[in-house]
Amino acid sequence: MPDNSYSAIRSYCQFDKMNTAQLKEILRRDSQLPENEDSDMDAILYIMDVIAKRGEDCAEFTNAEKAWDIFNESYSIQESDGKSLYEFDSDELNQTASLDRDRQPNTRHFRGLLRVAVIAAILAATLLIGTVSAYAMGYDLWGAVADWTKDIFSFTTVSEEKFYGEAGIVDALNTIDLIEYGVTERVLPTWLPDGYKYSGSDLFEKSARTVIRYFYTRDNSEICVSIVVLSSPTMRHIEKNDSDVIIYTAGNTEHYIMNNLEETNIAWVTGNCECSIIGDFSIEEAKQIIDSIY
Amino acid sequence: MKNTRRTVCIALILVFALGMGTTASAALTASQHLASYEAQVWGIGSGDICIWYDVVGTGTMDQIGATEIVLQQKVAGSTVWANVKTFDLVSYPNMLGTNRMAYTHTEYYYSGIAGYSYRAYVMIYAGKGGSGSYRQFTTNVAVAT
Repeated sequence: MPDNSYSAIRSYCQFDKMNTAQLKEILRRDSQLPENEDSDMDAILYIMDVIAKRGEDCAEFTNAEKAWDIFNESYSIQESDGKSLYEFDSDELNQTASLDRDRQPNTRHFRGLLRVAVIAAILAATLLIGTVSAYAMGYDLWGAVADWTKDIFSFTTVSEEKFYGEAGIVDALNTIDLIEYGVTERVLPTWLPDGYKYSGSDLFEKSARTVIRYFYTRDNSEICVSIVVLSSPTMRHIEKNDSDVIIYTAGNTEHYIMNNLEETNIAWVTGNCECSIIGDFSIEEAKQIIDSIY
Repeated sequence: MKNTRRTVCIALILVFALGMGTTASAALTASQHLASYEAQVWGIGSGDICIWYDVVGTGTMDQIGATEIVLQQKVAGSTVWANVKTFDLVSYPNMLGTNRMAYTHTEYYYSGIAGYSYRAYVMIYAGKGGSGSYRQFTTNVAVAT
């Protein structure tokens, strides 16, 4: 209540002298009081009583349809507000006076949440773009987040055309004629760690992929050499732990060496082939295997 | 000013919480059973779609392949993907190979509609000795021709 003197002396006769418009203005101002200021309920009740006795408001509602329209326009709560009509205090008189005030904090709260969400989205997008850009340039800006991208190794594009070298090494194994499937690069190792013996090969030829595999075994360990002839970019995921990928260049080709728990994976792309060697061998042995290809 | 500071604090907390979530999920990746995997869909004419996947284990696995494939379809110009077909082990037991280090080129076909887009979620699996690893792989998007 803007004027505290009214409630202090509990003499409301001054309200009787005011016209209805002035009284309504007092009610309106009361409804807009900040949350931490209390209304003088006695004065409010007195004013409402004065207005009711004058009967001016009743005249407005002689027509039921018009009254319903005014109610809908001024007081009806939209379904989308998600609020029940009965979520008010038990004091009915207080309900009417504070209806608008009740709505204000909700709107403010919603705007606050919206602002938080927008700022969070902008920060997240900035960090994401920054991290991706930094990675593209070879920098690790934020190791903790970037690590998850390191858990899966994959070749995203196959764009460069490579020199198609001699294919004599293909005949070394003499199991599958790789040239027949368009593999003209050196892709097969001629050295593997001691004890591994050739145990078989697989060939799967389909329109999108031709997969050629050679298997080698030693006791309970296995090495799998894969050559996948691509007709569309590879989407393969290669599992790895969070250790760094070692880039080892041989035969003018970059080979990527990584660990997946106890296993070591070698992956590279040459020509239209995606190749990998997977098995239980060390990083140094991986480099020797790569050197033996060329 | 006070409100702005509070808003920025809450936003930063949200961002770092997101980062912690992704870091936590990172710890789940390197696999004892799976070495590499890929899945693709492509159109083979007459509206038909082909689904293909290739899984390599870390050694000979009791079971290796895929346990479920959900094929989705999208009308040209739309942004809504709808599931149109699910392949599971009950109806397609050959989705998994046994006693192999790699399982390749198990293909499934679907009679689609020319001009519609298709993609698939493939649940990759490899297991041995009572334990196994799953990975969900989302294929490329192919337009049926």
